[in-house]
Amino acid sequence: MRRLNPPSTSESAHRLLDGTLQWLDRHLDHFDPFRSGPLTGLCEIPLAELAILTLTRLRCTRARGDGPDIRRWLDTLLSASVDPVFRQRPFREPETLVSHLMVDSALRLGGRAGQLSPASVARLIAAQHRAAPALPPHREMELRHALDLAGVAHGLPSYPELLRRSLPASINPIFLTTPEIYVVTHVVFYAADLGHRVADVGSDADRRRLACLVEQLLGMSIAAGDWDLTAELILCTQCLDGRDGFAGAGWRAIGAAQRDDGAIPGRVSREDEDGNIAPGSTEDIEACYHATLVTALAALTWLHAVSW
Amino acid sequence: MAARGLVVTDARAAVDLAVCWLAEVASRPDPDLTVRHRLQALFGAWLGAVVGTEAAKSALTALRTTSQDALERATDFDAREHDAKLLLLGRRALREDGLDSPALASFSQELARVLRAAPSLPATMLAETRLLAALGETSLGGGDPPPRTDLPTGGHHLLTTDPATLRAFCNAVAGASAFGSVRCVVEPSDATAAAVAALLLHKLREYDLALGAMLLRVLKYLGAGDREETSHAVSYLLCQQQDTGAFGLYARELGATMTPRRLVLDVELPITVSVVWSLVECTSREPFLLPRGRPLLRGHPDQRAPS
Repeated sequence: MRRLNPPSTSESAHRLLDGTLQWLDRHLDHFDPFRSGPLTGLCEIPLAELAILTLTRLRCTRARGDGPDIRRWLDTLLSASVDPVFRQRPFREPETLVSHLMVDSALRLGGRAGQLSPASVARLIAAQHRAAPALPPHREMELRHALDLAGVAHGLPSYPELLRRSLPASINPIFLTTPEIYVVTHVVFYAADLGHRVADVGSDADRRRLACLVEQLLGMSIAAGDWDLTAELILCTQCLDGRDGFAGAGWRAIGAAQRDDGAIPGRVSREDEDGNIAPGSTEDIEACYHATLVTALAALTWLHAVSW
Repeated sequence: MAARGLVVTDARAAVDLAVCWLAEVASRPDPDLTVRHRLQALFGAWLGAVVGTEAAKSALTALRTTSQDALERATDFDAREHDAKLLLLGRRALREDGLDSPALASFSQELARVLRAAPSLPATMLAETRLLAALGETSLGGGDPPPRTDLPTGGHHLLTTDPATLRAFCNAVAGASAFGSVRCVVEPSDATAAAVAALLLHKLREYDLALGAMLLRVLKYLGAGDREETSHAVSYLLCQQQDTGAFGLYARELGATMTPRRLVLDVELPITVSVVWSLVECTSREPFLLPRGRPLLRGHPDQRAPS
């Protein structure tokens, strides 16, 4: 990764990182997949997102600083993963596999015992032939990334091939829906291993084209005040080894939006003009956790690269 | 080049259809049709004539006559209630066909007098000054160049600017560049162009077609009209044209806040004119509202040579 280091941008990222990590640390119980009762639907997703951030904290050694004790985070992941119901779920409901792989990868990197046998997962992958139409290309890319992190053998297509299948060659960002923008950010994340390598997207022309799209979307998300997407798109610029475009403006804008308790308001929070959502309530945590988490993720990755 | 050719062809067809609609709206016997509406429609037809559509040429002739008649009949016309540029553009459209309006002539002369008496000319009034010169009301040869401090400030901060300030910025750039006839450098130039381009996409996505169309023109006035965002915006706007020719799909607003007639006059009409203006700007290589001229900015690096 090349160096990206405007001092004021780093200061913004540091302040954001400190506040967001502290807020997440205070609300670790929110990530317990069992907090609402038995496991249903895709309730493991928040835990998987915590696992992704934990992985990044472990990998971004140069940016770790004096953040919250990571052992508490690993304990949170382990507490859920040792439960037999949790451990068996991906084999009965394979759509939950990616979340479980992320949790397991974070535990292993953190020196804890993983709960998934790579051989068992490889057998599951080979048997179910997870692909389109049941699995859209960007989901297949997500699966591939999770399998690669977990060291599981598979025969899925390459990242450039999956990217080509996920995104058309030409995109008019005006027409993109919000879910589609998240598809763009996530495929960039997977291709770049969450910012730990330059994105494997094919040719230099492909990278430039994607970087241009990301920059356009980043400017739009800042103008829209969507901090969740702004943080994800800043991370995308990092992944694509992009030029220093709107990232600085994005950091400053998110910094201005950060609450005193360290949380970053999500879309629901921003739209709550009447103040119906009480700060610190379950609803508030639910509304803020994702934007706060991705901001921490982007800030960690940014600072790690800056410190080279 | 092929892609641009296709865009130009599609845009011209859209402009032609829009001008037909403008002419039809402005020709209805409607007591709610004001001088402002007529001047807007007149300007829209004039723009269509720039790209040479047949519909625009015939519409322009008819609208000149009806606009002049309306101005003569308007006993309560107050120029202060109207946009100065619209009045000057309207008067020029009349004068090009040998017509005129005493009310608009009086306004032009008064504005010219005020500007001549000003100690220095604000950079953002360059468009009005040049329009007055085109009408024979004042000369650009005298007076000091506008001070640089009057130029709007740009950069990435525009992304988080409120809509009112953003509109003011757009008007300032339009004025300082005299609608693209002089080069207008708003520092930091690359960052400003990038921010305006991103805001263009954002505002269109929010369905603020008026501000989006304005930003599309500003991007060109900043010398950044070849950016990819321009083609994205034009492509999007062409999809927002009704079968009637009007731009803007506002059925959800109809009934909730306004009557059909008010929707046509107060929303669709100005937005259609604004979009037509932007489409004509995007398809024109050279400035057309005012002749290209030297920048009048003291200390500007391009001051010596035509832009």
